Amino acid sequence: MGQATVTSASVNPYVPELAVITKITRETDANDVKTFRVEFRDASAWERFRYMPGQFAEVSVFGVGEAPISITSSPTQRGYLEFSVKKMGRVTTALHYSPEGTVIGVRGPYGNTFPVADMQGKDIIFIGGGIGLAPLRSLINYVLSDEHRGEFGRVQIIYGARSSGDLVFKAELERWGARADIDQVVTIDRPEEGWTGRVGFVPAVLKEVAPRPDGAVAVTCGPPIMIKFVLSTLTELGFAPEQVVTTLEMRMKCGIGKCGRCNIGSKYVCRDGPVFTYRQLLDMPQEY
Amino acid sequence: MGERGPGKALAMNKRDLGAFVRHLAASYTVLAPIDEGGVTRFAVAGGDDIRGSGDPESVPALSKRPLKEIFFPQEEVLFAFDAGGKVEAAAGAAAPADEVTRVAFGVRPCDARSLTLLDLVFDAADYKDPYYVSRRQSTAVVTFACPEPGVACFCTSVGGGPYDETGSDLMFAEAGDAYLVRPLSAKGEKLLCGFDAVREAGDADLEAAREAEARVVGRVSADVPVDAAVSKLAGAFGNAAWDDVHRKCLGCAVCTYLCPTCHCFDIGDEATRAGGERVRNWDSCMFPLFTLHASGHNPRPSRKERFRQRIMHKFNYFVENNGRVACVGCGRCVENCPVNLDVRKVLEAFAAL
Repeated sequence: MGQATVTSASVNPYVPELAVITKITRETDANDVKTFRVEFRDASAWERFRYMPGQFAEVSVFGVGEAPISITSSPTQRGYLEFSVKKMGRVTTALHYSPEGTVIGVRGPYGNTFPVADMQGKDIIFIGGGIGLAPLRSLINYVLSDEHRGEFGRVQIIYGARSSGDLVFKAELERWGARADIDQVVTIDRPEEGWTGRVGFVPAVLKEVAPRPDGAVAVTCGPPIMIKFVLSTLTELGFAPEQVVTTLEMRMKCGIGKCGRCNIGSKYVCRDGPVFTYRQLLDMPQEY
Repeated sequence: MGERGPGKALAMNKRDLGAFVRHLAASYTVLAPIDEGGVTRFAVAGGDDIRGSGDPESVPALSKRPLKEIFFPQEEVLFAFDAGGKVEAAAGAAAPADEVTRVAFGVRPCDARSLTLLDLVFDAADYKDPYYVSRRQSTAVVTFACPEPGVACFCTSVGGGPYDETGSDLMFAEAGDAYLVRPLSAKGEKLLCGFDAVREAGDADLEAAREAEARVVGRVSADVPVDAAVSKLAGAFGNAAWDDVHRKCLGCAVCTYLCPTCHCFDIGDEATRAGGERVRNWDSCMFPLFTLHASGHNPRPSRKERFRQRIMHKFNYFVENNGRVACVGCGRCVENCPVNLDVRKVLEAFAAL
């Protein structure tokens, strides 16, 4: 796994950079997922905030609190960060009620990164469910960027949600789907009038599509139940546990391995993760 | 510094202890175990007021609340913010770290040792906790060798002992009418500067000290098979023994609050109309909310998983990450548990698997 970025000792890791919400995109029909584009108020913050796909930040709404949110933008998209947030708890709800122009806090980047160096020259299969596409999107846009596209093989995207209204990043899905260097399958759980895409659960569609494991890496994120069946399906398809990468969520506070709550066995998800290979997960207690 | 030669053992008469505290209080903020409504805790002391009870020549007893709170307080403001989004870090993080301004006086060896475990967390190689680190650097630790181990003590089973010097800057040890005084760092050395009642130890002091130590060694009665438990716990996450050992536990978390090495905390905002503060508070793995996701999912849904987390963190996960058990054997969790759930018995049970 990639190494976490480490702050210097003189920096207070608990004090966030200030950032302004500059653009809010409604992602789902139910309006329970929004993408927040933010820009640092102090441009020098970019020197301190160098991230790679897979990392997360502690995002705060002042007066309400902080929550760990994966960075959904790619470091190749310069000048802003994006966080796609589902309205779930207190902080994410407060964020949903924050209009453009609101000043929020952002500290990080935290955690390890997707193993980008190990993926070079390989085909990459992205398998996402619902809001689980958010962390994958950072890596997808990194791999598809002009600067880095040549470093990777073919890209396959298998993405599903409960209904067409629950699909996130719809405009990007269209762009990705139109590219000749990507095989993309978008699926919804149940048939809908007017839906011409695939119907079925992500693991079932994955089995039909049957990507080849040779020289490939699979990267997956979604609801726990989906991940569970995706992992077993990939195993059936011949993927070794080392070839499968996922990213985990845990309740967190500090983000820097001190507050003690996000561990799975001796691994802290905030510091040793959130990105783990299936191989690593097999060696860890099933407590997540 | 009197007529002391280099490398010679030093001593101080017990009747001079009060004067030494006053000497320290003239230059430093002295924190010592103070009785607050029946609960002893490290707090600002002055003059002879160095412990909760009686005789200023005696050794302060093990405080009920752990030493950690003068470095990692139960509640502290990390920073304040105003409505315009201006953020200002609390002064605690900005204190000059190269100058000693505080003395923790009357520390027991187990508590001094606990600081070296907390250092592994808060003064880690990757991220430093500036609040803890600055307090730690600006504080000298004056420890008294333990003259009376309690019934719940098991320091000798976890690498410590009544005369353990780990984590101390200056060590006092019983020697009849005097104490042997041993500086263990430049910080500790400096505390003696300008205090003339420190003298070279005489043969009688050394003999009395040897006798006192011989009386104490062996008084820590518990012989907990910690090494055996640690090696068994390494493969015991899924063991059925967890189904039983936790049963008495009420989940009250007193064991973690009074533990000198427990370091878990929560961070939350306290808002006012004009802004607010970001505050951190001690938290505990014994509480269900500790790991509850916003989705409602909880990876540690019952007391079984939470009890297992506490034991595994101290005797397996911390060992894997830092090479040491996160326990100093102070016995507070044993003495204060409302249902007598004794960690020593838990370790014995796993050692016997």
